[in-house]
Amino acid sequence: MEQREQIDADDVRAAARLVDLRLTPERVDTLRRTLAEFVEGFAAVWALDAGDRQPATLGFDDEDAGR
Amino acid sequence: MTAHADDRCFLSIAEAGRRLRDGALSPIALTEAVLERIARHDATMRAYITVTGDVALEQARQAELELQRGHDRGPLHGIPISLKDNVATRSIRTSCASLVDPDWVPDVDATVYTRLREAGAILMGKANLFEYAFSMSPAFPPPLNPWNPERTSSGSSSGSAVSVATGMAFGSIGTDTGGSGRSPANVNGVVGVKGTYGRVSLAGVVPLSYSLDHTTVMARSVRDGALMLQAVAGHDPADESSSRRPVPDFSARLGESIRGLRVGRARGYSDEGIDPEVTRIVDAALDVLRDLGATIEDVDLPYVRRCSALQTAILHPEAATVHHDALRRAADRFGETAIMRLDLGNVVPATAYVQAQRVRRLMRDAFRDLLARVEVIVGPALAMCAGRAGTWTTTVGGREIDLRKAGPEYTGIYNLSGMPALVLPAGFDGGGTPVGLQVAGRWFDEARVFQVAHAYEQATDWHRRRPPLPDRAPEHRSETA
Repeated sequence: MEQREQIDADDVRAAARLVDLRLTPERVDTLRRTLAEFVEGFAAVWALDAGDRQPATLGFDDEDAGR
Repeated sequence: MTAHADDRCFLSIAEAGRRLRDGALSPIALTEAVLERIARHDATMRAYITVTGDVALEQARQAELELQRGHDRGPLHGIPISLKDNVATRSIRTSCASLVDPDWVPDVDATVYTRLREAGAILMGKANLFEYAFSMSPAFPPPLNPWNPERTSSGSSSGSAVSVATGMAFGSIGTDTGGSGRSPANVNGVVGVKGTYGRVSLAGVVPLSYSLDHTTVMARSVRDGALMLQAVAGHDPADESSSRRPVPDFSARLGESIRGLRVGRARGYSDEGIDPEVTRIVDAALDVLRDLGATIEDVDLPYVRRCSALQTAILHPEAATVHHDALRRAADRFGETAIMRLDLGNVVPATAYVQAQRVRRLMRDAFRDLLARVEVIVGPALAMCAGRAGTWTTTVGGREIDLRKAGPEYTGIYNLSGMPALVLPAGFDGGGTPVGLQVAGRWFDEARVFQVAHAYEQATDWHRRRPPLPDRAPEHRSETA
């Protein structure tokens, strides 16, 4: 499997800028770490085949319960 | 206060109700007894952020008059309760244990409080919690675990659980987004119930995560939990996620035999492993259910190893949306962990959020198949015993475990699936801290969950034990953890 590129501080600052979030250097460093952990952990979720299922937008309604 | 008065504070809701109706006890006397207990213990225990003594006494006077005149509002009439302090209360401060808006006084009541008032319950106060039900508050020190102050009282609905465990309320309203209602019930030795998603209104409850939040109830017994849920369940036009499904009698199956019932034993859930003490207690509980005639089969919880990633992908962006403005205008007033999680929520890709919500439906389908084979699923609430107070970690077999990563799988899976789940006392670890058992069931079949939990409870005596209550907090304990 191809090696994923590291998330660096510039990536984090750019992502935060897109959502108008100004971060201290400490927050940048923490976010770089937590975002990297998230991306790594979520790779297994991308590997799941959800077929043609639509997002559960507001949790589970009566029909979802299937009863 | 005399031992007799203290005993009144530990009556079941059903027994207190009987005494209130036959005149052996009055709502005012009961409220005063609980207020006295709060005055004596809460400076140490920190279960409450705001004690509403005047409101409680006024409501008690009204309850007394009504009962004297034969106007009976039902099982909660005259019963002292607490509300987690993210449940809006008109004219009463609702702090959310945060410095962002610590003196917020709502101008409306949350629907759950309206329903409890209509049921005649008495509000003793607003219970302590994690900041916005999210992370340990920098400004509101957490409650003590009444069984062992060196151990965490968990969160986020810790004040709710501690108020009930210590006789400072008979029942409480909490919230549960990944286990926030059931985890504190687990380590403080009370019953915590999360109904099916949509069963209990969220209107007026400060949101954490729109699609994962549940309003929950706590009590000292399964029957009392059923009475609490009965009072607050049902469709609410003010909540778009509220189900229109009719509300059954949650107590209807209490006392029914569980012989022949098919119970799934939740297996294979944790990447981090499970504490052998938890396994011992859960296995012993399953032996009790087997002795009562249930058939037990091992079941794998679907996609449980992905729960932590799914929770993060959904909860964090939704929370970051809730707190979008506050994070930009008052970031310095949030606690460190809240900032960390909100920052992450702001940059989780939208595609990951959507994929996570699609996988929830995958999980739903797998649970639907599983629940065709078994009526309920029984397992631990948390993989670990209660961790050290003021930290996010605990040690298992010499390994340091981060509870933020290890914790959500057992409880959070039922927030993701929306199924009802209940935690009740099932034993104690070597340090004398409670360990609970979790029973989950089919969507909108809370009555079955109560039936199984009640059968176990009645065959054991864990729920009858009272915590020793420390006289003071441990001196080395961080006040801002």
